[in-house]
Amino acid sequence: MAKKVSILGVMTALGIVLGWLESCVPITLGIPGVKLGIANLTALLVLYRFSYKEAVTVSILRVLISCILFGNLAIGIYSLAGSILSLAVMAVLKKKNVFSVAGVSAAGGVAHNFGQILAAWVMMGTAAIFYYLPVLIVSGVIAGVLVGLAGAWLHRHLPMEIS
Amino acid sequence: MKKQDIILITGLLIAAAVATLGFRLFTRNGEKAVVTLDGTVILEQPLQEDCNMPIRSENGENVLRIENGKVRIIEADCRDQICVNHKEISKAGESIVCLPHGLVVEIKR
Repeated sequence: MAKKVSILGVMTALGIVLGWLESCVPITLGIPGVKLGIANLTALLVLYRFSYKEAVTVSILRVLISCILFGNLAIGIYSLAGSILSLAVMAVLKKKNVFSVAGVSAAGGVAHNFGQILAAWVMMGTAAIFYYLPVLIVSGVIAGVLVGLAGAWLHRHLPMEIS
Repeated sequence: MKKQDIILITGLLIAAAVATLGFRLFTRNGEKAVVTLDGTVILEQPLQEDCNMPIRSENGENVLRIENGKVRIIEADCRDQICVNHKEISKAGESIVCLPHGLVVEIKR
């Protein structure tokens, strides 16, 4: 138990640092929500090494702490909606055992962006936001595959004690 | 990656292409820029009239410019500056979003 808590704590911290690092190298294409989302690497790894429950916990903690540290409440809410939907989709696909980590993560990336659009739709009360759906699907696939390939590599090479 | 992954990814990309095509089909030239702040319409501005308009709220400030029927945000005091880097918009349905300020500029007919 203590080992598990400490590993999950390290994963949360790692996620916060990765998210911060990414925010230092902004790649803005002028489209809200387009980014690599490298912090989700930790959620993906926790999903594969532990389970859905742990992955959601790590994600929620990461978003909340990042929000307090660097924050903007609105961005935090979008991230949270995206993360939860993304993990739900990835957990289901992982269970099906049809796709490899990269495929699961690609679907997760798209689900993440879709969750953010839904949250923005509710918060801003305008369907105009769906205009971004196509480009956010494509960016979700690209980001998801890249994070997924990195996650698969880590899953293969990290010692099995981390689980 | 497995074959199934490629199928999944192709499916997602096709969905994106279909959505793009759908939006294209229904795009017409716009008549006015509608500005929404946290879900409330606060401004409607015809595209024919050029203007520079600061939009202040407790969330922050964005400056809207309409020039030759095209709309863009030329200034914002937010962190990410995504709305400022956004390409100008003029067709109905297009929008510029400033997530940190809860601001949406949408072109309507």
